[in-house]
Amino acid sequence: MDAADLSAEQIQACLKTRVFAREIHYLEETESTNSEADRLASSGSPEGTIVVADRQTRGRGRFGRSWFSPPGTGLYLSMILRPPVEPAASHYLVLLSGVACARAIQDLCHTSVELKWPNDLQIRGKKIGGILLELSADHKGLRHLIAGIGINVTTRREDFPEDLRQSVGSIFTEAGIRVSRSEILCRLLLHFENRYFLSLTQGPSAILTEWTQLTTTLGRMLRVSYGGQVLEGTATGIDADGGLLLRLASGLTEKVLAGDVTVLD
Amino acid sequence: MDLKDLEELIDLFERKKIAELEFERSGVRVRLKKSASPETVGVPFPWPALTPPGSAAGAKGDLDAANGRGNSPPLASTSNVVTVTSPIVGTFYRAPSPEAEPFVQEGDLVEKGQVLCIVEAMKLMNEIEAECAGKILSALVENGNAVEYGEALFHIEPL
Repeated sequence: MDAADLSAEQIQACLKTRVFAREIHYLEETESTNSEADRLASSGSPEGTIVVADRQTRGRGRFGRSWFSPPGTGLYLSMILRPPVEPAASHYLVLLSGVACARAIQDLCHTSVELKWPNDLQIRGKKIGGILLELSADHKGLRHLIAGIGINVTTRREDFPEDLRQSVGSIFTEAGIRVSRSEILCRLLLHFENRYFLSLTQGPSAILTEWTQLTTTLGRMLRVSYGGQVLEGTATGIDADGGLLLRLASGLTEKVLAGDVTVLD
Repeated sequence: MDLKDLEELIDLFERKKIAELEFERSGVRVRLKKSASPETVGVPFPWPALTPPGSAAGAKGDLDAANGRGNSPPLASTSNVVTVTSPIVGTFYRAPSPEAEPFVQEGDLVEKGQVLCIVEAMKLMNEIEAECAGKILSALVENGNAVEYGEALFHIEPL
């Protein structure tokens, strides 16, 4: 599968959403779809606008880490969201993004996709996708939120840098299926849109329940590096904000909202 | 658990950079939660009636209500100093990546809307911007530290 599986026309042809992707910005190459979407959002592009690129030259992961984004094989997508919620109440959208991606891949590939808290996408323990949300807010409240998604779709094992091959894969390497990026994108947008608007009227509890069904993090022994501290404990659940509840050896339960999570068992 | 135990637990909770704590012993269960503003304690949902995009801010009220209170050093109360506070619990970053220069240093002049720092929680990166043009008087939090709702991050002298 080459770049022929991703274009604005193909996306339009399989799109079933009502609000999302009314405005599509397809780019053959961009530094980062999140940066482009942020620029568009700041100049007034509406909610649901998407930026999708065949390749990124400076794809970003968390905290300045790069996201390997070669051409022709990955889905690099950013969506503009303008949820009418407080910044502190928007974290569940991180989990919602992961759920929508997992459901889309499951629908098309009939393979099991797991979520590692908060939203790494994994197949057979290998990371095949990541999600990074960037929030723009001031003292008056949330202005916009960019949900950035990177999924390795048809990337071959030998295409990944050597130091990533142990931990990273693609849908193709882990499930043995070559699937169209446009189809994954459209399915993903539909799953996202349905859950997003439902959550705005009913709250996020259904999202949290669905995330819990898809995760492999709960019940595991974890090490979390967070704000200069290192915590170790068993993941017992998530709370109403999506924060991870970690039961420590002392018997105390701590809520974790950030940090690097390593599975120990 | 007696009242003294409870007091000790609350003291411990207040000293630690954690947002929420649940403790259970001998059938007694205690749940403590820090929050920016009393209005939001325990009821993040349902949200206020949906408002059109862009108008959500109107429902939030003034700066104090939006950003919490109680954590700012006394400097914040003087009229010519603006305290920039964190709208979420998370990890505070002064630079966009470990190798990069800090967004701002003490003494820097900043424009309104200029990014001062990032607070991250659950892979949601929240860029905190200057609310006004001015001079950075003090940067109050170390890079990589955990911050709480409403915690003071910078003092800015408006210019």
